[in-house]
Amino acid sequence: MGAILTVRDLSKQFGHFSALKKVNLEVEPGEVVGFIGPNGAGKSTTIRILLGMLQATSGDARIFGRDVWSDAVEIHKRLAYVPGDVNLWPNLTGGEIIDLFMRLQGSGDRAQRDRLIARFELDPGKKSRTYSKGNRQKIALVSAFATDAELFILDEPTSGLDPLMERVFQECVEEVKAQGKSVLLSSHILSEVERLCDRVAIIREGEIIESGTLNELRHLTRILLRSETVSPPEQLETFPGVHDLERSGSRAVFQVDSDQLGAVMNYLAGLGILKLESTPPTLEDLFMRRYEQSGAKRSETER
Amino acid sequence: MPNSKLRAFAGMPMLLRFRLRQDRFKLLCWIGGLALFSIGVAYALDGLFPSAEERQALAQTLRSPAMVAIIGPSDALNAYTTGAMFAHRMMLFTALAVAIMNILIMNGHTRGDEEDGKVEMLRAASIGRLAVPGAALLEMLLVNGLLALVHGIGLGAIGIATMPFSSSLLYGAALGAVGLMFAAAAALFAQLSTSGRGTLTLSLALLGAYYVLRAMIDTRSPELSWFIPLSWSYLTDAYVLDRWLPVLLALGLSVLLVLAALWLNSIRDVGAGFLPQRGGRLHARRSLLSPFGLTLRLQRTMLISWGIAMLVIGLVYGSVFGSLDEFMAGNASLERLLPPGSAGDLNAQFLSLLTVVLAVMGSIPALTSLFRLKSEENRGMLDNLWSRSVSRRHLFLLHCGFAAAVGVLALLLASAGLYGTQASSMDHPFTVGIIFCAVLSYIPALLFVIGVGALLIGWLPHLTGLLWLYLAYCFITDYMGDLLNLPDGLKKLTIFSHVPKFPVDAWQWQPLLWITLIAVVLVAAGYAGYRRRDMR
Repeated sequence: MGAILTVRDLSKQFGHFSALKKVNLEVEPGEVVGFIGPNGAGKSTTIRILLGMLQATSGDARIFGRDVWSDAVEIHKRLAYVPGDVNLWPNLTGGEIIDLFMRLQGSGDRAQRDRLIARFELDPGKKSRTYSKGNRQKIALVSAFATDAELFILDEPTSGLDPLMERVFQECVEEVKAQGKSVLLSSHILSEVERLCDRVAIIREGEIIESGTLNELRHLTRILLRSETVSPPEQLETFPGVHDLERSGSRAVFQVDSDQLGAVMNYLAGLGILKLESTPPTLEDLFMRRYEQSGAKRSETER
Repeated sequence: MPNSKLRAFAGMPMLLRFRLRQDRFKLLCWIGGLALFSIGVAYALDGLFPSAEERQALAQTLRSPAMVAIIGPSDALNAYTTGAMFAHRMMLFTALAVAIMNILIMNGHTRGDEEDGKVEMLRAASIGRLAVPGAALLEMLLVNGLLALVHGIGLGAIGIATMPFSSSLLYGAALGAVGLMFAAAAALFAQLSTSGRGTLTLSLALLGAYYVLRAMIDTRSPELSWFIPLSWSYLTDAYVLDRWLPVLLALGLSVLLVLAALWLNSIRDVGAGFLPQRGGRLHARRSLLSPFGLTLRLQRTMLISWGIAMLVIGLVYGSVFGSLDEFMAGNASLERLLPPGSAGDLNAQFLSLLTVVLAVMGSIPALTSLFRLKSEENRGMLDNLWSRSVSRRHLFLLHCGFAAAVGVLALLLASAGLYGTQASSMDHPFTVGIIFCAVLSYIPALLFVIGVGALLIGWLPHLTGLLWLYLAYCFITDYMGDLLNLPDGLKKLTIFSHVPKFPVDAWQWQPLLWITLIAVVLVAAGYAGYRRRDMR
């Protein structure tokens, strides 16, 4: 069986503005893919193209092997979507909306619906005008996870949830993953992506600037080191690839590029290591670093 | 301790200034709009009915129970001066509008803000417990006072002999006092209900109940009208008897209602109410579970309101037929409103003029319904449907069909109302068949308007507002084109002018079929754009 979702060289122009530039993305069966990037980077535009709401200017986007634009209705029968901004009709109750959404999607399990409502601690008897942002997101999440969709497209689904509910959400994602279903998770919360996702794709100004497994991406980044040596590491600042150095006497805290790690370690070993701590980069470090780099590049070209 | 009582209002002046700033544009629109409309009508009535005979003829048509039920009674039907005519025709409806303004603003500033959590923010600042309702009530006192003054001065300043300043001030004061009374009632309901919608429903239900009750009382035993607070508006009999007592009654009742509202507010928690809360449905009914069911549910309130409005418009127009002949005699401006060819039956001509008006009116709910497809898209609501297995074609055709059904229903209700009152007020009434054929011959034109709307939604969704302008143009041209001496070319631009004027002209199928065909082509063209454009 091939990929559930494939995006090839997808571009989207709004007038003269290029919202997406040759985006490539793939989601395999049973895989959770994180889609990260700041506001306005093109995450939602990509997702709206995948849902058949926007028509791509060029490129190819397929879900279940079908074209996302012309076969939208067929695709949507096997897909569940949770938007970041959940807009609900204020006069309907949460329970009514969940039932409607399940019916319009075309599948769904009533018992599962009630279980999810209990897990998310949602009161379905209230008019949706009285719901907070978090509660509106719960409505969309319950409606999505109560269906037996094969692909879940989640666009910043937890931005309004409290930490406890975020945990429930993560459990739900793990459950559908265990059932062999696929998830495309766009998110700001990098710890969440780090915990849930097999692969990540980082998008910036309409371009995918990085994609791969977390381990693959970590090679491209810096490691945080804390060291204490017998003699003070006075030459440390002269090494290429050492950044953000804070030194007081024989102690030092600094970051080092992965490819320069060996040279730095040899130097420290020569000084007599008393203590050494290393922290692998978090996705957040990685993300910030990629952004700073591209940002610097851009301001150079703008000069 | 007087000190602690005063402290309950701490921060009120600041809050009042803030409210006035926040509302200044809205208030300007309401007060300015109402006053300009009243002044315009007074001015127009004076010009349309300059002689006593003409006014007396009009007064005859307003004696029927149907008209008394709708616009209220008058003590001056035997000496119908311009002032008496103005107050009779305008007072009750303007009072209704003023009451609605008061209810809307009051509800927004009390329970509406409380529901949104804004009151909690204010109470967390150093603001007294009663400052929020207090500031809202003070604001409405100022607003109604200003409204009374603007009406009084504006109407007095026109310089119509039978509309002196003193009576005009009474007319304005009656509006303001009735308005204040409904602001106070809304403030009270805001303490009882826990939701802004509940408060609004209770307040409007009270207003509606007063209107219906007084309609029943005025047609049977008018002296009991004094027990209905809404009647205190026209019981002032401005420009005729000039009674100030109803104004005082309204102010007195307002004070009682305000005290009750403030007391209830002081003994309850923020967010709480005194009426039991009704839990909503935990599950949807089967009837909701489809795009059609959802559309029906979302537009239900709008449809019911428009249904009632169309029925009432039909009833009002129908009641005019009775003494049309006497009324028309010698009124030059009204005669020019009607199609030329005085040989034809005057009643038939009037009917064919009314049907155009009804057709334009009926297009409004139809278009409102159709444009929900666009407004729901703008509000991001349609994402909920697109992202599930609902196709664009389904939604587009559903909304076009729904709008057509709404328009046809509106015309049917108007026809029924028109038939009902004209049958009871005329010596030789039109048959059911003629009335319904006359009104329903505009269905193709209605479909054309929907077709243009569909075309705009498909290709130029940001320009749908233009269609409202076109509709307004149609209304002015078809209703008053002859009066304004518009050239024929301009008159031909309205679709309604291409409908044969039944029963003045003979019934013709051909133009109706052509218009329907064009409407279908327009919808198809609209869909061609809709299926390929980006959704917001």
